Amino acid sequence: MTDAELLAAIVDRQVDSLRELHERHAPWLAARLAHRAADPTLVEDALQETFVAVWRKAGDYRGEGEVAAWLWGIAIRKLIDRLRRDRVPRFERPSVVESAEESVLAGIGYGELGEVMARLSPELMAVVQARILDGLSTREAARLLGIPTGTVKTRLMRAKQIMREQLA
Amino acid sequence: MSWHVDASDIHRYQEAALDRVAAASLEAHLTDCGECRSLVVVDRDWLERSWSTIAELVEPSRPGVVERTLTRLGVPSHVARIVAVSPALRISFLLAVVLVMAFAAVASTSNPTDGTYRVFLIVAPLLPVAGVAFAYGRLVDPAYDLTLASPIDSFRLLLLRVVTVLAVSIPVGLVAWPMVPAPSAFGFTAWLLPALALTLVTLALSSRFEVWLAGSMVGGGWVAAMVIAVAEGYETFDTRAQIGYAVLALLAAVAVMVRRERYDREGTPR
Repeated sequence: MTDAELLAAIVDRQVDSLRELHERHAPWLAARLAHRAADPTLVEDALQETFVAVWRKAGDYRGEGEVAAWLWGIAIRKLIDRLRRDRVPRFERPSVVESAEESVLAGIGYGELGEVMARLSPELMAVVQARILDGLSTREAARLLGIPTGTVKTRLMRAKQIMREQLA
Repeated sequence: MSWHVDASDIHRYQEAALDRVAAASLEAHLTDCGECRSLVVVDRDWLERSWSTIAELVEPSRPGVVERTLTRLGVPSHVARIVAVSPALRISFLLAVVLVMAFAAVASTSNPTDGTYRVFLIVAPLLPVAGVAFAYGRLVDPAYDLTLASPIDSFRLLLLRVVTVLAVSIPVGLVAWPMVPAPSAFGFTAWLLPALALTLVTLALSSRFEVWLAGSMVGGGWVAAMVIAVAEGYETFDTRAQIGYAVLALLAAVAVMVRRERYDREGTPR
């Protein structure tokens, strides 16, 4: 069964399909969430909430794009919800989701864009990852990184400017 | 997919040992590539635990036979749940009750001539006391938190516990009794009144002492009294003795009702 077929079965209340989806995706989602939050409990909670949300809202998946990307979109937002509730924004390294930039990045690996990004300071890199690669809104990125929204905007502008100059 | 990630890179990623750009690139690739996703190292125990939590959230376990039967009999559902998760209804407790009863029955039958049936009569009333005193509480009861959080006042909770324990141990005793060759004068239920009296005394004492302490005192006192009585040649289960047990049970019940305000959630003193 493909992931999309599993989601269709979950809409039909098939718990086994949710279990299969969990088996396939929980490991990498957990690993990736662990790169966004230092506290393992937060990661665990966000992951559980993610699959509970999938159980409730599997029908929201429109059949466009990778199920994995859709799952990550839920997971990172559950993590942000948790961070907001705990009022202790923690992160190690933000990074990636569905966007034109991402497909470029996935294609080139350690290529040109990678080199450009490597030149960004850690602060700018974190904003680029949250906004462009994780596909978060300015507000969500601010929550994840624990900085004001204005700072997210200015850092993103500076990062784009640097990347444009490098690629030019 | 034009390329795949090295398994070793994924492991380094999981250990947060990959540089930022490589990590970002790997994450982007994992989103697209199921083949590489399956290379992520997973702790099966962790995966099991994670799943069981989710499973309980999306599909809460169905009420068991006991709970459903009680609900059907008109017991409110939150009470039925507490009774159903009661330690007195777990296999381990049932097994202990059965074993002790069997032991007492065997001890009584081994030498039917000299009245060792008293061993059974002495042990049997202790079982409900032990059930009330030791089968509950923080250390032994996995449902402790659930019980603590239930919307029932502590006194009724304690009574519920007693009723459950009696409901479990008395039938076992009734089944075991016919194996004991006691004089027919003592009848089928000679130990029932002592059992009731001891349980109620335990309950009364637990308004002042921790319930395990109350149970220990009652158990110790009972055994000591029986040993002395037998040694002195008193009959401990004849009609007069039974009336004594009935009076004791009544007094204890009155004490419990009078002091009902003093029970807190654990059946311990405030």
